[in-house]
Amino acid sequence: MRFLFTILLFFVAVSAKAQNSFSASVSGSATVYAIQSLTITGGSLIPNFTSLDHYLNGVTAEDYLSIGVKSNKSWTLSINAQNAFFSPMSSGGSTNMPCSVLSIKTSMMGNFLSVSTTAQTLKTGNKGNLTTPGNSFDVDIKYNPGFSYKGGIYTLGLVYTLSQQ
Amino acid sequence: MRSLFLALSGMFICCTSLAQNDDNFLQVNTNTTLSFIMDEPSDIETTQTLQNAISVQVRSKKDDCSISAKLTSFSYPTSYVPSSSMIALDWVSDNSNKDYNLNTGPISLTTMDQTIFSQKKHPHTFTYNYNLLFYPSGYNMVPGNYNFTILFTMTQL
Repeated sequence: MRFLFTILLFFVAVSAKAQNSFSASVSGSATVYAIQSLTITGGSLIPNFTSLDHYLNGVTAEDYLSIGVKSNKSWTLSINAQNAFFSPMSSGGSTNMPCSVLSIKTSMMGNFLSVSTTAQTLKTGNKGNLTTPGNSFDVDIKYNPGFSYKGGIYTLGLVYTLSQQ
Repeated sequence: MRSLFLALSGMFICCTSLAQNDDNFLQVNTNTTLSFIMDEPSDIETTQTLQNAISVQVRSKKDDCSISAKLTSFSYPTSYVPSSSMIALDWVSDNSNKDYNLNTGPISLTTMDQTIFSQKKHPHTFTYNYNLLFYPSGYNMVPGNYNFTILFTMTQL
């Protein structure tokens, strides 16, 4: 009987030995905020008005800008003019040319939007990086001042605002 | 019967004390808050590293041992779909001359135990230092909190 107990004890001891392990744990976290990035390239072209047709129908600069959006939420890109009127860069230029003579659209969009000082949605898109469909696109721009303003170089600031939906 | 009772009682006390006595020791220290803050594009575009974030102290006096690690919990915002392991340990340094099978490369943690190193039996306590890495999944990272727990296990061989 004692021999049997000894064998039993041996097996229990071996079993306990094989289970010999100890543990410790640590915890952590990552906090992710809404992250967005907007890149704009191009826009350095100054359209010239060199013919009567340019004054009659305006001048369109296709693919004037290339825009890239990165966002971890669905997004909206809006645009507005910084000022209600263009600023003449040369003396004697008109100071009453409204920002609405400038209109803008994405190259995929049908109609131009007249620019105003009120923000207007230019495009919306889904979360993703630049390779996500719709997050990289070109912008066409059109100037149509007509005959009402003096010749010269004019400037207007445009504000592109990227926001999360 | 009495001898069996005494023998089993003695063995039980002996086994439970293994975790408590000087023969075996496992302690995990955090050297910084294990917190990643991601609020810039580069934060979710590139691997984030907490330098020297975790130290694992090990002593196994009578047997060789192996140390493994795994994720025991990983929670994330409800609309997020995890695609692969996001947490990894990257060995930095140690003061041991008794280690073997040391995995020095980044070890992506999963819910399964992975051996990070083994150590020969030795009376001294050795320390192994690790960077903690977070692999963000770019702009698929849904805003919110991602919480994780890493379990280290020392198993005597």
